[in-house]
Amino acid sequence: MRGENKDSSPELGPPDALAHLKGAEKNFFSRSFRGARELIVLLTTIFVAHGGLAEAGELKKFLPLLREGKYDNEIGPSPAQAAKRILALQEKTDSVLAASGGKAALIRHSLEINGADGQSVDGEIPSEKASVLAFGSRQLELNRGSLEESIENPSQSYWSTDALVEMGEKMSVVPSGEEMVVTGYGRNREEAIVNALTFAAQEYKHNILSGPGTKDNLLEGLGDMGDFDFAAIFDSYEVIGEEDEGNGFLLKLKLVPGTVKKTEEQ
Amino acid sequence: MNNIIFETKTIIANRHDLDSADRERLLKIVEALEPEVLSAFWKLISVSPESLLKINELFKAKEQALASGDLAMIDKIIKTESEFLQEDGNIV
Repeated sequence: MRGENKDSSPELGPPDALAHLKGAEKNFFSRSFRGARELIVLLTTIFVAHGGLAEAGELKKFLPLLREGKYDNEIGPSPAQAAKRILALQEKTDSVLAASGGKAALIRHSLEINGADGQSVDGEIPSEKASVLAFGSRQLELNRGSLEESIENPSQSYWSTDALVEMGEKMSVVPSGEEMVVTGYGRNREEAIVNALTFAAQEYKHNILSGPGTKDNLLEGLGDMGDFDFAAIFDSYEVIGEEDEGNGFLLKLKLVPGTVKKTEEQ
Repeated sequence: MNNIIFETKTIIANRHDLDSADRERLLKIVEALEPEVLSAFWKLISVSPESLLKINELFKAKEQALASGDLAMIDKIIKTESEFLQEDGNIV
């Protein structure tokens, strides 16, 4: 192992040290592979090796196991299940647009199919100062069997869904909490806004699906949100700072949490 | 460049339970990650943002131990990791 680290930079310390760590961790992964905890251990060693796989040496062989998608078993989502989730997001978006009289909505899906990541984005983002309903889901399934089982039957899958709906005047949204500032990165300004809003919606203090009793007592007009794991209403958002970093945008958004005061008859 | 790097940076930048120096360091690290590493990292923290705290803690401990070359310190980290792997309860 010593020879593998001859190109180590000084910050990594003596080659023996990294080899010692890698040897022990290799034993962890050889005994069992339960998923996220092992991934955390593996990632931190790769991070400390300057983000590259070369310094992580033989540990890198464990990463591909996390990329394999398999959809014909009970863990991974089948194409039909994935389609159902996509349709659920679309249906909910349409119903909230109709119930609130809103005009703009953006839908984003990330799915891993046969090991390849893909993302689709459709629609337009809600305008600044408008009230927004942000909702969606995240799910990562990792094989929690032994390493041998993982090799024979890689069954990791990932999917995420996001929707941002500009709420219209049929639903009166009012401020419901303290404003907060959220940072968003993106390839462009619009993507940075979407990333900031969807991240904020997942925060416990904004996610109306994770509060005590809220799943059974959702706001009038939103209907059943059982297909999703986060949802948040923002009375408004405003871009208060932005910077073009050359290879992307960095934005600061001011968000004001909101709630629906009254729903008019359709 | 796809959106994975930007979603990852958005999650890190908003973890205010990490101090600003740690956030800045993690933001720099993700810029340098190879695509398959970034993909695995993004999936993990997008589902479980709190994993970032453990990642940051372990990363800093390893960085310090490896820089010192102190094998006893590394053994202590290995013991901590072994206990962490045996804990009940799923992170994801």
